[in-house]
Amino acid sequence: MFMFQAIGVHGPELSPLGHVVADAVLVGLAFVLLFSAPRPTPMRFAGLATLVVSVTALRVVMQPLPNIQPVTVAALLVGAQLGARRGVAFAVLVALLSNMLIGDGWWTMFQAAGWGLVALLGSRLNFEQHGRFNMRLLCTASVFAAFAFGLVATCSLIEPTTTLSSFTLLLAQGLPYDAIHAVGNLAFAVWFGPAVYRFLGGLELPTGEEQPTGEGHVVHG
Amino acid sequence: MRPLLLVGLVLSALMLSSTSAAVSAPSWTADVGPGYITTAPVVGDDHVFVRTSGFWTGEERPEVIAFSHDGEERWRFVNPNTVQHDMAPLLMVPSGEGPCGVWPNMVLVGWADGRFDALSVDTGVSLWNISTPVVGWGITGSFVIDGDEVVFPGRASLHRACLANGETTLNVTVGEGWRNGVAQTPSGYWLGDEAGMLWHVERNGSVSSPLQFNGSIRHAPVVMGDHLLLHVQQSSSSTIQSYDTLTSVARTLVVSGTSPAVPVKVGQQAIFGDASGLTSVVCDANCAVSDTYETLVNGEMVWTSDGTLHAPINTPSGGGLSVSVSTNGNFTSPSVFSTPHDGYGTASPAFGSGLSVYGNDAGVLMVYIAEASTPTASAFDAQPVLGAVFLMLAMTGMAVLASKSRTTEAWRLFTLIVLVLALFMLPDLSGSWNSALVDDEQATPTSKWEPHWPDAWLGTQVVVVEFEGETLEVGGFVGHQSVLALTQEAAIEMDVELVLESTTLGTYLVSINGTSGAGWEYFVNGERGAMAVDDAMVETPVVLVWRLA
Repeated sequence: MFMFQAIGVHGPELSPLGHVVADAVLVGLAFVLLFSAPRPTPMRFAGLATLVVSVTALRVVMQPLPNIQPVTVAALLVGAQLGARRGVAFAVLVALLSNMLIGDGWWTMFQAAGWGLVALLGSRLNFEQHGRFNMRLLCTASVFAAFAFGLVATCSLIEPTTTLSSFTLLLAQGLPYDAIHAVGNLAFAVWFGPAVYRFLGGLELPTGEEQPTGEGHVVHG
Repeated sequence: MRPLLLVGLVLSALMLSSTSAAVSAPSWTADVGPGYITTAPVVGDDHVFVRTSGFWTGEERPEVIAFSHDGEERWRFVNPNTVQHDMAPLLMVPSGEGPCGVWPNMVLVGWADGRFDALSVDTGVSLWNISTPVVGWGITGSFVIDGDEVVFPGRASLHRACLANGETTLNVTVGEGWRNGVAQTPSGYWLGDEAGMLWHVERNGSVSSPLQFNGSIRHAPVVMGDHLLLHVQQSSSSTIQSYDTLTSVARTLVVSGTSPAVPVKVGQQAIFGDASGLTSVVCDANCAVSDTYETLVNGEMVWTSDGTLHAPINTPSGGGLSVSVSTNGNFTSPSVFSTPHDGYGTASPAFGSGLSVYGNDAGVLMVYIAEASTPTASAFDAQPVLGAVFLMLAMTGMAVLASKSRTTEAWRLFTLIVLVLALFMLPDLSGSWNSALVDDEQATPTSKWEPHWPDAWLGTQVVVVEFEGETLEVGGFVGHQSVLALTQEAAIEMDVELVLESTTLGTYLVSINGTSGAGWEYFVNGERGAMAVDDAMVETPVVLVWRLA
C-alpha cells in the first residue's frame, strides 16, 4: 500500500539491457562465491542446489501472502552451517531465480543484498551448543533478520530527491510488513529450523578439506 | 519455556478479544451499488426511500429507490440524464392543501442535472418536475417547505414552486453554490455559495448579499432567532461564524478543522462537525461554543428525540458515532455502532417507525427493525463464532501439548496461530498505521491553482495529467473521495484509457492512454501521494496531478 504508486512499481525501471547486466552480475557473483569456498562433492553440491530450488519454489508459492519470506530463515541457517560465502551465494541465487518467476527488477539486487546480509549474520552465529540446537538463538536471529532485510530492501526506493525524513517515513510505513515478516520467520524457525539445520549439516565440509575428485564413486565395503 | 507458553496463550486470548468486534447484524440489507449512498435515507410510514449517486462506470445512473419496511423493493426512479453528483437530501412531504392546490404524499428530489421532481410516495411516478439552470451541475443543496410551496436551490439560483402542481413562483439568481441548502426566516430565505457569499432573498424576490465570508458555505444556514450560524470551509481549516441578521455583523466563534459536516440544530443548540471533531454551540442572548469532541465527521448528522446525536464516521473502518448531548451542549457517553458493512460514509442514519436505517459509500442500505429482539437466522453472521471456536480449540491444543511436556509442538501450534491472526489483521493494521503516519507527516496541503483555469473550477476537484509534451486538465468534479475514483472520472472526461493493476498492496495505475514510462506518480495539492490510489483519499476542493516518474 505504501509508496506504491509514487515511483513506478518499486524503484527505477530497468531497461532490458539493464536487466541482463544486473542478472549477469548476480549470477556471476553467486558462482564466484560458490567456487571460492571449499569445493563440495557433486552429491553435496546437488544437495545445496536442491535447497535453492526448494526455497525458490516455496517463496513463489507463498508469494500471495504478504511478506511471508521463507528465504530469510533459510539464508540464516545456510550461513550458519555452510559459511558466509555459500550463504551469500544461496541468497543471491534464490532471489534471482524466484524473482524471475514473480517479478524481476531494480529491487532484486536489494533483496539479494538483504538476504546476503542475513546469511552473513548467520555465519557469525552458532546454533549448536553442547550438542543441542539453540532454538532461542534462532528465533531471536529470525526476528532481527526480518527488520534488517526490510531496511536493506527499502533502500531500493531511494531516489535522488529522497531526504532522510522521507526515507524514515518509508521505513516506518513498512513496519507492519516487517513485523509480519518477523512472525513468519518465527513460524518457519519453530517448524523447520532444526530439520533444515540437520540437513545442512550433511552438506557441511570440515574447513579447508577438499574431497578428492573420485572419492564419491568409491564403493565402501 | 512453559511460562513463555502461558504468556503466549494469554496474548492469544487478548488478540481474540481485540479482533472480535461488536458488530450488529441488520434485519435486512439492500445493495444499491455500485453507486454511493451520500445522503440520509428517509423513513416513511410504509416506505424507506434512498437515493444513490456516483456511478462512474457503465450505464448505471443515480436513482431513488423505495422499499417496504420489510425490504421489498416497491419502485425505482432513474434519472438517465443526471451528472452523477447527486447528493441533495430527499424530502418527504405529507399530503396537504393550500392556496395553490392539493397534493398527495410526495418525495421531493433535486438532481445534479438541474431537474427537480415531486415523486409519488406510492408509485414513484413523477407528479411534476421543473428544470433549473445548470452551471457545471444543478441541484445539490437541501430544500425547505414554506407553507404550500417548496423552496430549493439551483447551482446559481433559488426557486420556489407550488407543491400541488410545480408552478414556479420564484426564480432568482444568486452565487454559484455546492450543497447550498436553503434556510428560511420571517424575512425570507438564506443560502451561501462557494465564494463565501451569504445571500438573502426576500419572499417578493428581492435579492441581496449582505456579507461575504472567507471560504465556502456548503450547508443551509442554521437559524437561531436573529442569528445565523455558518460553518465556513477554507482550504485547510474552517470557522464557525455567528451572523446577526439585524446588524449584518458576523463574529467568529471558533476556528476548527477541515471538511465541515452539515450542522444540525435542536432548540437553541447546534452541532457542527469536521475533520477535528464535533463542536456544540448554545445560543442564549448570544451564541458561544459549549463543548468539543474529537472524531471525524464530514457528512450529515441527525439528532434524535432522546438527545442523541448520530453521525457516520468517515474513515475506512467507518461505523456510526452516537453521542449524547446535554441541554448545555456537553458531549457525553460516546459510542460507535458497527455494522457488517462499515466503511467510508457521509450519509447520516435515519430513524422512524421503529426502523434505524444506515447507508454508506459502499452503496449498502442496512435496516434495523427495533421490534426484533434477536437477530433473525438469515442475518446471523457465523464467521466470528467459527473464528472464536477455532482459536479456543487451538489454545486448548496448546495447553494439552504443554501439559504433556511437548513444548516444541505447543510452540509450533502457537506460532502458526499467531501468524494466521497477524495475516488477518494486517490489512486493517497497515491501513490505520499508514493513515496515521501520512496524516501526521503531511504538512497542511495547499491548493495549486493555475490562473488559466476557469472560475467554474473554483472549489471543485481538478485533475491534471502531464505527459511528455502534453498536459491534460479537467475540473469541476465534486464528491470523489479517493484518488482512484477521481482519476477514473477525469479519464472519462479527458477521453483517455487507464490501465489498472490490482495487487496485494492495493490498486496500481499502470498506464494512462498507453503511456507507462517509468511509472506514474500522483500529487495531491502538491504533496506526493504515499498510498495506493484506492486508499488515498481526496477532499473537495483538491488539485490532483499525475506525472511520469
